Amino acid sequence: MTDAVQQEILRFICELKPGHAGIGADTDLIGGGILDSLAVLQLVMFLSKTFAVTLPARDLTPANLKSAAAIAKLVEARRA
Amino acid sequence: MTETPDAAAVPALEVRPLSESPDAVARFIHAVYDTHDHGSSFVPRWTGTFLASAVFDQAGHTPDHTLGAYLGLQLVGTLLSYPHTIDFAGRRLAGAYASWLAVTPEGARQFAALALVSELRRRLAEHGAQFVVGVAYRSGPGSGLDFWQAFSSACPDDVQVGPELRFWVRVTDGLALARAAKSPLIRLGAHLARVRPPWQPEDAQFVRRTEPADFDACRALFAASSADAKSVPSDYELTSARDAEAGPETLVLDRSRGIEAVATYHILPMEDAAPLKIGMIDHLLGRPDGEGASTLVNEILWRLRKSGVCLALLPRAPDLRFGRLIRSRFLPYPEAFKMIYMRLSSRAPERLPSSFELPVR
Repeated sequence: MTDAVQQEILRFICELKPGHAGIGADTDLIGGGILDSLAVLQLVMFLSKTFAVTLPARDLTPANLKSAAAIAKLVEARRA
Repeated sequence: MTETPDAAAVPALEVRPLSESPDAVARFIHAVYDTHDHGSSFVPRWTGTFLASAVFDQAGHTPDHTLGAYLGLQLVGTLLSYPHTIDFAGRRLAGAYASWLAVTPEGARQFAALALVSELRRRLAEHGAQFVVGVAYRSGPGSGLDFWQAFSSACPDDVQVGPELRFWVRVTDGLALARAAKSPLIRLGAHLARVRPPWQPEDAQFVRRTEPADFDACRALFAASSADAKSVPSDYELTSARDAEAGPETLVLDRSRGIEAVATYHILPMEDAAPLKIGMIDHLLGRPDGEGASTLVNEILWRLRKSGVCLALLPRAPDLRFGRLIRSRFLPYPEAFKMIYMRLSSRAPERLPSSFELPVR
């Protein structure tokens, strides 16, 4: 399941940030300057619609959002 | 675990109480605002003196009310608040007014804005705050209102945007406004408004600054407001700063028949094509059966003009009647701001009512 979630997240990020090629599951989204606060909020809205998961603001930390793999793990944890 | 070079170079973001002085915080906020595209908006230039008076020195202020986001020792974000009590349809709740959210590009890459809001909520809830209110205005793509609206859509349980905050506007010095404004429309309006500058009311001698003996009478006027959410000002909030540029100043109309009207206002330096001063009249309340509020607002407009203010803004409130304000040459301000509301406890209403009488800072 996490793989499918990861793929959806990667697809969304690539659409949101088309200038960043070659983003993979473990690409550093923060150090790489790919996500900022506004992009994170757009991503959260996408996750909410796509996976019916509610993420409170306290979950939106650099550790939880550092990569597509970490975000997928967060989504799975909140869906459980 | 092996760290990547990027991860090693960037320390983890930490949100903690600000250790900088109010002057340094003001300088930081200016520097951040200067990096934004503000379009045609005026850019506020709060001074350290004002922040000290309106925020840091407030009664009940704790270090947890004024937070900074840090990457190591580097300040990359601020969010300031101060204690504020609101009467929600008869239920009096303690909370906070928050504003002055500013984040550098380095901070934005570490989601500093989200971390600041989240941490402020947590810390203020620990202090027993039931809610946080604030005001957002459009200040450029991705910042200000754009950010709050995205935040509210993504985390509706954490933040709500709305209802609208609308203003009355009064040009107090058309020539100064025309010189300072970028917008041709504002310049044109400023020239037209030069026809009738503010005048001093006949009863001006009865307008004075508040004294401690006035506070209960002032609070009674606030309580008499028909708004569904209204400020319950503390003694500190009713105490005037040295002057309206140093912090909020509170004036009353007292013709020896008891306090007939009360108003709180301050002067905010701003920047557009050139520096200018805006007068913000946070609160204007008078007895429903009298003309006290008109007298008081005319005196404030007169004082603002003498202080070099070129534009006065007055938030619309349910008891401020258009007929009275137009006699003081106020007009509806075209742009709507939005209220920000964060509910921190189940005792607070789920949403901010659309009828409110709250500060604007």
